[in-house]
Amino acid sequence: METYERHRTLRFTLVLVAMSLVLLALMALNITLGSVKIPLSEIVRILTGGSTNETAAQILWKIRMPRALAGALLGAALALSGFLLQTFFGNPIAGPYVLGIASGAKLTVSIVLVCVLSAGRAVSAAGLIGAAFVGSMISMSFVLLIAQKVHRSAMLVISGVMIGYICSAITDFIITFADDASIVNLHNWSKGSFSGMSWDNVAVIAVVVSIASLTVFLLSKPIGAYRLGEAYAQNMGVNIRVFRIALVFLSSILSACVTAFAGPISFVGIAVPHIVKSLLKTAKPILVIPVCFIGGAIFCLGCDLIARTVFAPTELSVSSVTAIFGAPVVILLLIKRRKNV
Amino acid sequence: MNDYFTTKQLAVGYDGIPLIRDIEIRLQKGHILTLIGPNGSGKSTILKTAANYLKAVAGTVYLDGRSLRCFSGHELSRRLSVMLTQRLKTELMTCREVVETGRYPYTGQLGILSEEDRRQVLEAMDAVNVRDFADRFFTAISDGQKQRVLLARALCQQPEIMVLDEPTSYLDIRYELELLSMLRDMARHRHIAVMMSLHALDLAERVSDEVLCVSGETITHYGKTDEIFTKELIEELYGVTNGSYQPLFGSLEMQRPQGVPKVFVIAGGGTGIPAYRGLQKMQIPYATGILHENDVDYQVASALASDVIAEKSFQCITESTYACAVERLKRCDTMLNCLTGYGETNRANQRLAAAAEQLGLRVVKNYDEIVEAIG
Amino acid sequence: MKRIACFALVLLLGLAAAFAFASELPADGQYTIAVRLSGGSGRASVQSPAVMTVQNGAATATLVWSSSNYTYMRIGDTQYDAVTIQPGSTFEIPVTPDEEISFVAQTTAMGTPHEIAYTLFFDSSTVAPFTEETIDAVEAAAVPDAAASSEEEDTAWRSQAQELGNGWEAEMETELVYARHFAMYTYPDGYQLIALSNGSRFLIIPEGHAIPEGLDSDIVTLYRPVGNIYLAATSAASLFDAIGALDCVTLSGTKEEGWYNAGIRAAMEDGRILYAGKYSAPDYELILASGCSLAVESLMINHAPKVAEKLQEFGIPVLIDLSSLEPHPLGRTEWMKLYAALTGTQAEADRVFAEQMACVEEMTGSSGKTVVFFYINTSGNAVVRKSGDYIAKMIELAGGQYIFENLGDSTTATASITLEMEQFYAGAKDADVLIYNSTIGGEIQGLAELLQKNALLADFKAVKTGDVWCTRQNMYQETTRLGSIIADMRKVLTGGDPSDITYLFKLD
Repeated sequence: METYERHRTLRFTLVLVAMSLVLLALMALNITLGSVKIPLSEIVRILTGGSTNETAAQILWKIRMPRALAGALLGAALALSGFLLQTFFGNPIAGPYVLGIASGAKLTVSIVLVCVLSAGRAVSAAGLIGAAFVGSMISMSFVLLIAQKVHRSAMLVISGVMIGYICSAITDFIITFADDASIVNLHNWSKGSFSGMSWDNVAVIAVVVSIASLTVFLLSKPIGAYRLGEAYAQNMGVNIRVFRIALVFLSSILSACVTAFAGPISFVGIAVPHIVKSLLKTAKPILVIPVCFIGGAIFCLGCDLIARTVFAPTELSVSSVTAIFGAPVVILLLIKRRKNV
Repeated sequence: MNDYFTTKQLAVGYDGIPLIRDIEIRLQKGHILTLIGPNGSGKSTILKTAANYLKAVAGTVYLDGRSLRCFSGHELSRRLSVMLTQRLKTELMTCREVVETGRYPYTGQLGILSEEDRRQVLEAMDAVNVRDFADRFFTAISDGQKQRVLLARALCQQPEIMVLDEPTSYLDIRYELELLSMLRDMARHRHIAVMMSLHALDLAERVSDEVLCVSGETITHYGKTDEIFTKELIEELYGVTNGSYQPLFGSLEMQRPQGVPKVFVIAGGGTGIPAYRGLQKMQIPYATGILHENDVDYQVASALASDVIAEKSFQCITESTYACAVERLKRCDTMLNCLTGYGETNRANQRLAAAAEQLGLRVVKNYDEIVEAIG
Repeated sequence: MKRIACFALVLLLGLAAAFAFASELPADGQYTIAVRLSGGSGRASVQSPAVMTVQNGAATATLVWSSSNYTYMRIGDTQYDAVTIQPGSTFEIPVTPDEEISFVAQTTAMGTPHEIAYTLFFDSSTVAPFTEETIDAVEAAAVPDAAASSEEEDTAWRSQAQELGNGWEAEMETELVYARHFAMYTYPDGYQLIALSNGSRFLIIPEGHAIPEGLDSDIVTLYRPVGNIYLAATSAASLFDAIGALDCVTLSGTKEEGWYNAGIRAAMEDGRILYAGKYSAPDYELILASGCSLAVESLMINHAPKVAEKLQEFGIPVLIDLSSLEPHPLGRTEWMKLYAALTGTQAEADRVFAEQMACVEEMTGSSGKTVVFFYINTSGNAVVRKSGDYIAKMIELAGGQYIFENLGDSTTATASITLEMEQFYAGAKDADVLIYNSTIGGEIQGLAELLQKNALLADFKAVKTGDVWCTRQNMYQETTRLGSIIADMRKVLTGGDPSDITYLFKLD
């Protein structure tokens, strides 16, 4: 292997190992920190099964663990979704919601909150999650329909944005008939939060995210072909039609999963791929995808930790924290990149 | 030899609307077919259809006897590679990585390159001379180098036919020549059929085996290079009105100055060309002679001079020709003699120069003086 | 032109005749007349139309109540005893049509007989001859009236609630005067069941006793006295304070600064009650660590089902405070009895509630003034209460008349309705008194600020006469003082001294 490639592989291995360690450390931190002080020794005892403090065990197993796992998995999902869309559209600010996923989810959630609740009926948490998922999938279906008809993939961004606008308009329409309680709750939902994750949630998230992520990894080759643009990709043998659908589907599933369980969380999907590419000094998908996965987990987990501990017991909206850290990073990186090129 | 690439009643266009109809092409392996024609005439459309990027509106494209439609994307990628005009927006991609993408049809599920793949890549890079900057980012090299890298990419895809859309469009002369000669080499040694479009007519004439003229709704002409590159055909194809096309060298000349010539230029052996062009630029009409038809000056003179007194090739200047020249001289008032020496065949020009002096024409040393005098 | 004149003349004659007829009592005979009952808890009703007998120029109506518990009606100084109690308490009273008749009726619904104030209104324009068909119509009765049909709903969840699943029979049902969204049943050995209209049930286990066997799985068991409560329902807080049960609350869903109630503020300042995050994002760790045994949430929790499920996952039951659904203002206050049952402070609750009831019952007679209760939202529209809402009831109890009648769909769970300025203007322009609701948008200082929200308000009668008031922001949280608030409203309506009024202030 040529020197350059050796350097790149070395760099990749280093970054991967380092980030994995950081992730483990963050997970540990997330489990140890919280509004109730549990000493480290107690935590170890709980983990090894030798503890008698039931409350602390409950806090650890039922509150902190599922939240940390969910935060990591959903962060990874966001990062991958963002990476897919950025590569496909060749657009550095494309994010997981550029295809209108979050707007679709918000629409169905508002319908449920306003219509079902004002009729006096109750809604279960699973119901809201299901509603958000359905909304995302409806948005996605519209985009897919359009994807069949257009010649150039760039059109998809426009259609995604338009669908986003339409969904927002309908949501506003529904809100007109809502009472203040629904409006407040919809607003809260839109800010995104990892609060209250349960092991059931984590189970579903884990299955969806791991299957989707694995599929994305297996698609590294065609994604790589896309780096030269659609015309070359097609010449290399990539089935453009099928690939487009697969891409819309995968990225939508990933971001729909996040939106359904935690609400829309911004910036992770946009910032993490940039950070990862700068660290690895390459955009080769087969290398970037695994690191994005871990990077997304780290970013999200870190922001959630800050969101819930800085002003405890008040929780900051996790989206605000990701934006505060994400936006400057993206700006810096883009400036640096443009300078070199 | 069998034709590798053929089309039958092909019609190309967008959204089912035909732009150009009845396209019949026969291309052999190892041959280069160039598409020429004015801008926007549809050359790119034909190339994109040939590369299967656009669907044919009607008719069929055949590759090695099989219709293009019967090929799967994968099969086609092992036979046909392209080089396009779009500027690539690659991010953090080294030149080697760009070339490596050419091995796409041959690598496994995850796209990891084998030894054979690496060898092919190196070979392709060597063929186009890009090994030196293989590990630099693609975006950090010059346009000429980029085109070579893309050519290497197309090459290591091990195609049987290559389709190139204006491959020399961003290149200056040196790189243009370089690229086209590489293409010529590859076509011949690797037995690849090449189909491309070119802007530069002179190079098109030099590098192609067959030429396709694209203008309007149908193919106006299609055939071997020498059949196509005639003065009338080219001028008609491009709608040349402000000048002319000189097929022998594939050169272009500006428009002939209008008016009755009062200047006589004695020239031959290439000495007259600067004067011809200089006078043309100032739009001063002139007559010239006595030139031999196989003289280089004759080419330019026939495009730019108002009157040309010429003698048949390989013959000494005859008396009748000389007399014509003198007659012509009498109607002028200025004479410029570009010749510095005389040979056996054009000794008559010496006498002509003396005759001009005797007739009282103003004699000038170079065309600038004429310009000053008249201009 | 001539035709129009003829038509107009005929019309005028016709109108005159109708008018003449309307203002006179019909000839002797039997008729039916529509009658409307208002006041009280809203649970009771009278059959309408009622049978009216005219004899020798005097009209008497036969009034049949929906309940058999009424023993007498006293109009002015005259007492009328019940003629019969099947199918409901029936009285024969003189008819004075087209005016509000105030009276009190005594009911024996609770162990001790008790008087409740009502008003009747006979509408003379609905007088119709009494025929065979109308007999059937009257007897078939039940103008499907919101009170009656929801009474059916009432009984549905109540009868289901009593079956515990282990065969126990309720010894007694706690008598509630106004509250309709909860019920309490006492079982042998002091076990008490609290049932809410949303189907949730809580079994209170007295001290020293154990959880009974064979209970239905949906019943939540709580040991009395229930302590370590996470209180995320602001309206319930003042109830806890009033019955002296604040010690049972250790966690609050609102920050210290968000409370108007002095008791809670003090407790939070001292650290006896901790802030545990708002209802939609509670600090589960803190809640779990403090050993919370019950979460009292407001209706908002229905919008955040994840939280309720998470709390239940930890074994912390969730009790939703449904007091805001109570149509009668005192029904809200009566919820203190529920919390008293949980915390063992029943005596105090009974005392406080009786006080507030007394406040209200002292008020009789209408002031004849129309009142509007509203606020202007950020979009510039007016948000008013629906006609059957508890605020409308409070206004009625205070002797006023809520100007919007039949406004809003009482079957939907929201209490307010948004009106465009045009509609609001048309409906409320001539109201005698305007009360601005400061709960959402904040208190308004002065008429000028109000007019800034919408200049049209300057045209309103109440603005011109200077009868514009604003609620103090703590009014919403003072669930226990609803009686006093009604008294304040009465003072407003009867032109009382502004400095004497605590929960409202005049805008000038």
